[in-house]
Amino acid sequence: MPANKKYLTRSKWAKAGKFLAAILGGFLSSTAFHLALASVFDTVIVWGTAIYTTFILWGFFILWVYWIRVAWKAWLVSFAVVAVSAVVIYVSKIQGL
Amino acid sequence: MKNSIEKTRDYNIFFHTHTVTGIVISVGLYVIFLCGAFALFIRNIDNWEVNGVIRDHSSVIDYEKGLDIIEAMGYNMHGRNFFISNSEGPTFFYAPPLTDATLVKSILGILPDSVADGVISLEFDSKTFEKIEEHDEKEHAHLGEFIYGLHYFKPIPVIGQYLSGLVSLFFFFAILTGLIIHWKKIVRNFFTFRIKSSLKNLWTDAHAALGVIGLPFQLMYAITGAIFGMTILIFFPYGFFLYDMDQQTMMEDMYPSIQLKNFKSHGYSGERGNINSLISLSVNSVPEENRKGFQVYVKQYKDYNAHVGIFYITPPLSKNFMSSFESVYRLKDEQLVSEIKYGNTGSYSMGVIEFIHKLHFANYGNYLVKLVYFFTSLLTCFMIISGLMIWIKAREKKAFEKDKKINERIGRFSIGACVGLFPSLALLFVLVKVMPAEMANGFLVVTYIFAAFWGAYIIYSMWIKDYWKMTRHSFWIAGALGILIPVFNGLQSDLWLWELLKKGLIDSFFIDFSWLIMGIISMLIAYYVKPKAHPGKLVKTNSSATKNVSAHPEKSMNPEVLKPGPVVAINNKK
Repeated sequence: MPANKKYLTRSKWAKAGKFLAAILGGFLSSTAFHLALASVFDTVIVWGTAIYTTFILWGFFILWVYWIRVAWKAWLVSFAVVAVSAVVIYVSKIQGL
Repeated sequence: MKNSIEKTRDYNIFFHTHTVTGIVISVGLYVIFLCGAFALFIRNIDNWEVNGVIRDHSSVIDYEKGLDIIEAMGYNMHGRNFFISNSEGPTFFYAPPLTDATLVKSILGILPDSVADGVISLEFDSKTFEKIEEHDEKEHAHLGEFIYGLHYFKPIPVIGQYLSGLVSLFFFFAILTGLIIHWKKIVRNFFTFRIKSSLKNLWTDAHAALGVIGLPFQLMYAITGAIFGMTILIFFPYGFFLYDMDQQTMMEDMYPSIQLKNFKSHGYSGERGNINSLISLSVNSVPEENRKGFQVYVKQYKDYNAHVGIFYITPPLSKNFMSSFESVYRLKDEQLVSEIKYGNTGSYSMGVIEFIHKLHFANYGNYLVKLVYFFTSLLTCFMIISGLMIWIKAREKKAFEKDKKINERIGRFSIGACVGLFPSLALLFVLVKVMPAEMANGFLVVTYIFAAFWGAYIIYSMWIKDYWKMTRHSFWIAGALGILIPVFNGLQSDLWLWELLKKGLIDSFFIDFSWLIMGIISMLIAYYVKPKAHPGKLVKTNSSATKNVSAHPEKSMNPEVLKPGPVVAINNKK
């Protein structure tokens, strides 16, 4: 029994938006999050863990994007995660110098 | 009985995304798992192709002599990084070409510079040092390598590997959504197989039961597959943001092993220690039960800063899951400069990489582990097929009348591509043995014929429009070709199945024998599972096949064992 259509996204643009948010937003926020951790904590340890957690987090992000109703929320969250991570990386780099 | 859960938005959303992801990645994932199942035996297949013996990398040879011989051939040796793998049979020398960073011009430029500085790839007899083969820059194409490459879409230029990584990622996503859909029934799913109920239920049960049974295996492969396919995504950002593109420092942090280490040039040096004595010293200090073999790395040869590393591989059944360790010596004063002790890893991240590698390539045990992997992969292939059949059956309803044509085409294409791959692989094995050895680009032609056959089978499937027939015919072809594989191997090499074991050609025997068995089973399935059989009878075949999955894996060798039954009913309904 295929899914009931009344719950599904109908517009093609919304579908494309969700797909892009899932793939690109998922990758960017997952990587940015791990990069921020790696710049604050032991880089080798975090990177070693990030090898697999990057993809696990990415997968769950895709899941979340399809669960929420509108794609812009996903973009907002990715943007926020990337922005905060960027600040963390920047600050830890300056302190390291 | 309608579950109330089926009325919620969450359920419908995840169900829909599960369906769409599944249908999109189905063929790709099937190729990954079926070719991957064969690629587990890549070394055996390569050895079968040339009817060679298993190489045992364990003896110390005269490395100095080998290096002298290579130098006498006119290669520029200064600043070279060597990889030497030695065995009972031939010894393999490999050195990548000198790059601007490593290039230090020496006076020994006998050959034109581009050749003298170029790649060195040679095979020597380990005792007499007679040259066996001098490879070009391009490696010889081998059947095992090809199937392994096909497994991550290597034939698709540039994006192939990344595509396979994305398929893997979406497989992970499909596992997550599948888990959510079945969460409340997960224990029941594990034990449910309603074969006496309708066909729709059979497909559904097969899909869910195999999904639950194979869950740990599939989850592991979804994640490790994504890692291997998209490795670049975990290296590049860290190199770019945290290491300022300094690859050298980054690799030394992440993977501190002689395999990847580079040493700076400090200028030419004639005086140095003896490589042979260093290696004997190191090898003799390692107990024999801890090493299956070793590889020798020479870095910055002929330089003040030259180093020699011995990289050990432990036997597959040793107590340690981490199976490599190494010692690195500075050649100038024969001092031990770094070492990874037995049972340790160079760093946490190196351990993670090795762990992932072992899980994915199944090389932490012997044949039993690989066979379990092989059959679980085939189960996964069948899970993909049953998922496709659920989709196809659901879309035969009136509600989908509008998209009927396109849905039917997608269904036929997907099933045709999936079931057509097995006979195509069998054909590949036959062609390798039929191809004349002296033919230039012979293997390339073989791969083209393979692709053409597979494509033709898909077209044939779309033309006959009958899932039962396309499956059955694929089994006939695969069965016939599979039985012929040992015959063609015998005709080509004069080595027949019954002689192989006596001559110690274990790999040749293993592959020949496996194909014979697979061929016979395929033929039996194609012959005995009849379309007109009474549903009750079919049920019996199916149930025995399903039970055998766990008890006698070899009987379920073909993932489509369960298939004919349901297809029959589709036909009956028509």
